[in-house]
Amino acid sequence: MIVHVNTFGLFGVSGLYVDAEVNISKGISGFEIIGMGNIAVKEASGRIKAAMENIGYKFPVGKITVNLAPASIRKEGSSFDLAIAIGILKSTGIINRIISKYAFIGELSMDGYVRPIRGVLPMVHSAMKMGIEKCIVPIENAQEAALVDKCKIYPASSLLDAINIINDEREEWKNDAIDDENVVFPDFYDVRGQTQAVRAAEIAAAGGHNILFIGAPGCGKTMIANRIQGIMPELTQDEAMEVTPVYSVMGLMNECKLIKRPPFRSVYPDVTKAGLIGGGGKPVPGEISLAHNGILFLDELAEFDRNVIQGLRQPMESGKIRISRCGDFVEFPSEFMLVCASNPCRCGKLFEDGRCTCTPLQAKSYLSRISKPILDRIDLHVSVRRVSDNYNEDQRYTTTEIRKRVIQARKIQNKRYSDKPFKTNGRMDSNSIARYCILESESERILKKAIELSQISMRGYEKILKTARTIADLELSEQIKTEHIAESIQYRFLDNYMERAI
Amino acid sequence: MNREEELIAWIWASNLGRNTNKNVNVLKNIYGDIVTAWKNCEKGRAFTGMGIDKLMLEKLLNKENFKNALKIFTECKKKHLQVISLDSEEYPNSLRKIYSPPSVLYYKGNILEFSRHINGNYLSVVGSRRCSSYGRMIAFDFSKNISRFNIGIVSGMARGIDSEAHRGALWGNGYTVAVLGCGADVIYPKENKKLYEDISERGCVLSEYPPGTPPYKNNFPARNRIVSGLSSGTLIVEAAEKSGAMITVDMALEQGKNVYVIPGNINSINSRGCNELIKNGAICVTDYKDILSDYFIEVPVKEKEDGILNSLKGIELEVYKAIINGAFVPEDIVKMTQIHISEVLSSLTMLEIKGILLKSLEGTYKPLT
Repeated sequence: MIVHVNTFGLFGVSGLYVDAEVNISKGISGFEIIGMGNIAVKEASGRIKAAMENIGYKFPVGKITVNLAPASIRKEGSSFDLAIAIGILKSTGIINRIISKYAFIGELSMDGYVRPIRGVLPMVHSAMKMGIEKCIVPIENAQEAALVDKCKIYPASSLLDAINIINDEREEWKNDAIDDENVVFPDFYDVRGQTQAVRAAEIAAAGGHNILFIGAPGCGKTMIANRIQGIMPELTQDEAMEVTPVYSVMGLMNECKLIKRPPFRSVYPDVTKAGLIGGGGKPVPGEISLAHNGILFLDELAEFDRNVIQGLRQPMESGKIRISRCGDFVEFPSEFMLVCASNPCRCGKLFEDGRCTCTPLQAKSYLSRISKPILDRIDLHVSVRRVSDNYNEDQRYTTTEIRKRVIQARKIQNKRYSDKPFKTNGRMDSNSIARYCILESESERILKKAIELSQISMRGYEKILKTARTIADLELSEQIKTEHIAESIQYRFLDNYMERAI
Repeated sequence: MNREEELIAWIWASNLGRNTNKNVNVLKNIYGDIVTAWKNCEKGRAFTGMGIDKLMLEKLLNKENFKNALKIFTECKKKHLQVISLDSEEYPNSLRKIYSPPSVLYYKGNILEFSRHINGNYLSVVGSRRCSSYGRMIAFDFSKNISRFNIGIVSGMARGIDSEAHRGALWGNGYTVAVLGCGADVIYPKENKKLYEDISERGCVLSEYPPGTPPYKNNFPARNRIVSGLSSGTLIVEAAEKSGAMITVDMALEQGKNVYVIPGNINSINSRGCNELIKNGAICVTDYKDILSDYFIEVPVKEKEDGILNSLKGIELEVYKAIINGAFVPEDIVKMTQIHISEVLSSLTMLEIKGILLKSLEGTYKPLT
């Protein structure tokens, strides 16, 4: 008779349900695990046999075959150890209670303890979605597992412990850790004098617009970029459950809490393509997935390898990244807001009156190094200058104040796009732009004139409409007014520069 | 005397060695005029003595030099350059009077304008290549306003102040002369291609160097004597202490011309030259009308900005006022007026569209008066 045990592995960053089928038949002693497991899976037989003997159980005689179904999907890792051991114990009658309402997740050490694994969160999440009510997990993973609502967690320290849980019908474990959401973010109030850049950051956060800051080294671009995370609205439960598994799978969950604040990932020009997009021998999520539902910050955009940057096109288009390996593919989520910073020219001082040592040709060619397809996806360009000592004190806002306004604007967008697959102005498609960004005739006239004066390019046109929509939302205005368009035109610095620079 | 022959002879004479003026004078002394000198030397009739030494004799008899002069003349025709010599009618009078006037001038455009302005109504405008937006704006505005009064603007078409001066004059539909440190057919710096074409069409591009001469560093100080020589006054807009512009000023002073200086930011290295000049007693100007009075031109005192100020109101008016009071970028305007950044930005767009403000490549603003 075959024993079925519920267990989970990983597929990408999602849990993969596995039915471990255990069969003990007469014949020469053997212990085989089939079902396209990788080496770690195959070696489980050694671990399980040792674990069982070391806690005092006699390993059964006979040919033991364990099939990890579905058989044609690759299995990886050691999370199936516990389940297989339980299956064997059930087969031999040592466990005589029903085990089908449990899922078993964990690695076994050779002396019978249950070891923690990575990726518990997505596994338990999948269990919950399938209707499995109870999960037995390693003790060290219990807090993480408990993040999933509606699933009862039973931490087990050892194989023996797990057996007792089943036999005793123990109470579920309650996570009594105090959740102190007192994370302090760097404040926008610290930024002195950069009113235009700060305003642009607010617009970017409010509408989910990709933004590029251009300015000399040390003028504050990175400082401002770092603070954008603090003004973004918190993640919804669904959004949190999309991105936290990525951290879980990468072993980056420092405190077993759901990630509530949109993640912020800084990337520098020395990053590899695999590090940025994901990949590697065994496909592993990259920075873009760690930035899912958050911000990806590319510092020194013009210094990035073109090949590496090219890899961003597909995920920015579709919100996910698909990595193929030997006929199979794995998908990781990668929907992020892009924040970039760049010098304006090689010496960096183009905006510092008369101090630039580049020839005009050198200056223009530096900015031309920024990949066009990526530039094409950036809605806001802001030039940032060094601030002199007597900067303006009064128009500084705290992060809390700005975030309030951002959340208000987001509320309007959530309502507007309630039946759409996107939720922010930055992600509007052409049809939505035509529908939600209707202009008064005066505004049209201004846009036409601006194109004539080379202030903006044709490609910039749609971006200006999206930005103006956000500016209007920030001012709680249903109609996009002339002054919203006029302000929006100011955020297309590169259109003007590339057009006029020889 | 064939006109072409004459010019070729002068070209030959001007390429016989470094001290062109001395050579020309010696030849005139011995042979009477340059064409005769050429014809004789071609036939080998030249001897040492009366100012000609062995080295000079070699050059006079060298066939290559004759061929070269012909080549240069043909090249001029090909590149549509005109040639004039010291003896030509069109040669600018003011230039004749300097210490070592160029024997031959190659030019493109309209040199007859020179004879129109027989009173020598030219102002040269010089300054550094690496200048601030302030300097650029001053060079442009002063040139534009002054050129309206039939005063030609002379400069070197270098990057920075020179280019803005030319542009200002062209904008005001005035006359401008670019004196180059390379052949009159060579566009240097490269990015001034359009400017060069505009000046060739509506003004004059000239050089004492034969066509094709590259912009060697040493050519520029020499070129500067022509810039100051052509004009009756020199305006220096923004210059560092040891810059080419300062050399032009020295030459202007030597030539007995007026020098006008624009005061600059005392913290900026780029303005140190100018500010030192002022400390040493140069004429400090803050309005183009200050210069015009030296050219005996009275301008009705009317605030040109009045019209604009009357047509604006509210925030746009405040923003415009901030710009004419020295604000260059949105940050400055916010500091000066305390108006919210979003309103400042939308006003700037509107003022640009109305043609009241001009935005530079680097994003700084200036009024378009």
